[in-house]
Amino acid sequence: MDNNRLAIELLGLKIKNPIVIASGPAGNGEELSRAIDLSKIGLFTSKTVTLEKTDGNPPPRIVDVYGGIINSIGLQNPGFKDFMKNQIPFLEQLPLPVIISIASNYLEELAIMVKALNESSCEWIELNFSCPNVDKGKEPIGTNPNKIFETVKFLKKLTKKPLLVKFAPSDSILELVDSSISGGAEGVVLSNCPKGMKIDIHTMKPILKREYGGFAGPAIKPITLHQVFQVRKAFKNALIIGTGGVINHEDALEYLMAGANLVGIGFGVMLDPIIPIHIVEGLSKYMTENDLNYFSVFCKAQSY
Amino acid sequence: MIKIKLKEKKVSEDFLVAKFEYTDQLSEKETTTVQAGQFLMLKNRTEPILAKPFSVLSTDKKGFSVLIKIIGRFTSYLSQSKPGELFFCRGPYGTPFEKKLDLSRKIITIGGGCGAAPILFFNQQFPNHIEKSIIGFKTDAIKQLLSIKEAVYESLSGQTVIDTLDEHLSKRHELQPPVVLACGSLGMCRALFNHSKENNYRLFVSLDERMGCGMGMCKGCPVKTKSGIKMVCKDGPIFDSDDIIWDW
Repeated sequence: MDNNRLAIELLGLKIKNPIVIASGPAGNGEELSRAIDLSKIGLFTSKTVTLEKTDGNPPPRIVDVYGGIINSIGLQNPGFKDFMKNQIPFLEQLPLPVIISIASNYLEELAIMVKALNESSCEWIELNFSCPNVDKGKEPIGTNPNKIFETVKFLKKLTKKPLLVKFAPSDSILELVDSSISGGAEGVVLSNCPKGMKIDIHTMKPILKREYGGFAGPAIKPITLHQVFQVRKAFKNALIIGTGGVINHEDALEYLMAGANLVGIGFGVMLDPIIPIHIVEGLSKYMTENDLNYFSVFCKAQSY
Repeated sequence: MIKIKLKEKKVSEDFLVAKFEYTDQLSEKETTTVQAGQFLMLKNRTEPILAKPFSVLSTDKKGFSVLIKIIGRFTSYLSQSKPGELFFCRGPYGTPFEKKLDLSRKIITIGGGCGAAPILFFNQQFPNHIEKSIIGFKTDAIKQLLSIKEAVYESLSGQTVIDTLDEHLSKRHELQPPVVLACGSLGMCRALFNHSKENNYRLFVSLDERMGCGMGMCKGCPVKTKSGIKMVCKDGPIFDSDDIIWDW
């Protein structure tokens, strides 16, 4: 197999292949790095960290539904200070470039984290403006175009690291992405989990204590794929990580063909940690057999 | 994940005992690594449903058996599968019971429902460390599947595992307070926790929770403890009941 067919350079960063471990299901890589050879993967995204420690939501946190799960983790994390002390050193020595994912509904909190991350060797920063499972802050930044513009513009002055903004699927996605890119973000991550719920017909109540959670898995792929497709049509130069329901290399190809530069795997890692490796192998085989490479597939997508 | 083949399956009411065989050539080291208290993540071959955790009931060189309550999509699927069908498996995950117990002392083991599986496995692995074992079921449906000499059937005797434990404790003449290891429903574990406070014994519980990855990454199976949020899959499933904050 010819792995060079998958090699990319984006924002000055050399990347082995377009497969990204998405933020969340893989934690900060400690367990995954023991299960698979992460040097074979393109990029790793850390679990979203918040300034203050977050316990996350009470169980159940994961409920099966057709085509995936509803999850209600609630950004459990040790807080940014502990993250910088205990998690960053591990992430920095992983054998692949790392994206650090941060979240807050307050600009001041985001600014503290972005500034501090200048000291780390992580490559990019993901601004998770769309976690479906937390309440802190009166109004989420991620659905207000003006707030997004102001926030990204402010944060961009604090760092030279590329900023990517992560959104949930939205009918207003073009406006939201426009605010991000106008504010100075290099790209977007499409998409976070849309909200979903499940009701227990025996208790007649929602199964999750918070009533709803994030819907993840193959069932959401047609929605998230369309988000990528629309955004690529409107923003030729934005970096797009397409993510949502990718569990095999055909799914990943669809995202590349819809216009994603990179493809994130979240639910798939939970389904089986080996899936990202299988996807890289599958992509490589597909490219070789069809005498294609990353660019030929991606350029095709750009020509729609 | 490795491929496994369903070798034998027996169903009685909503209980199922399934024996799986490894299909790949695995070394003896690989096939004997599962310890009592650990679990395997099982999944069927086609559907994109997360693998589900199952405590191991017994192992041999060729494979392993599990005792399952038919409760969801995977277990219903398994209950209708035929011998020879292939499944996927990964693990073992979780802390073996022996790592958290002081085996210089004998232990009272309690299993409720399919929580009996890891307890029976522990009893088999450490026969000389068991002071008393109580395995409770609501009905005697399990008799069709397994012969369990320690079994208590609530529908027949009217006795719960706690009644049987009370009987044992009343006859006990040891100087040291008892140590109990229990695996069963959350309700049973909570009831035992309250009972342990009234009767002054140390209680370890093996918890069950809906899981995502099964290996500590996804933070899907939390338990609140005095030292923070822990994961049932990685930090447990066995916990000292005194460490657990039960009313989360």
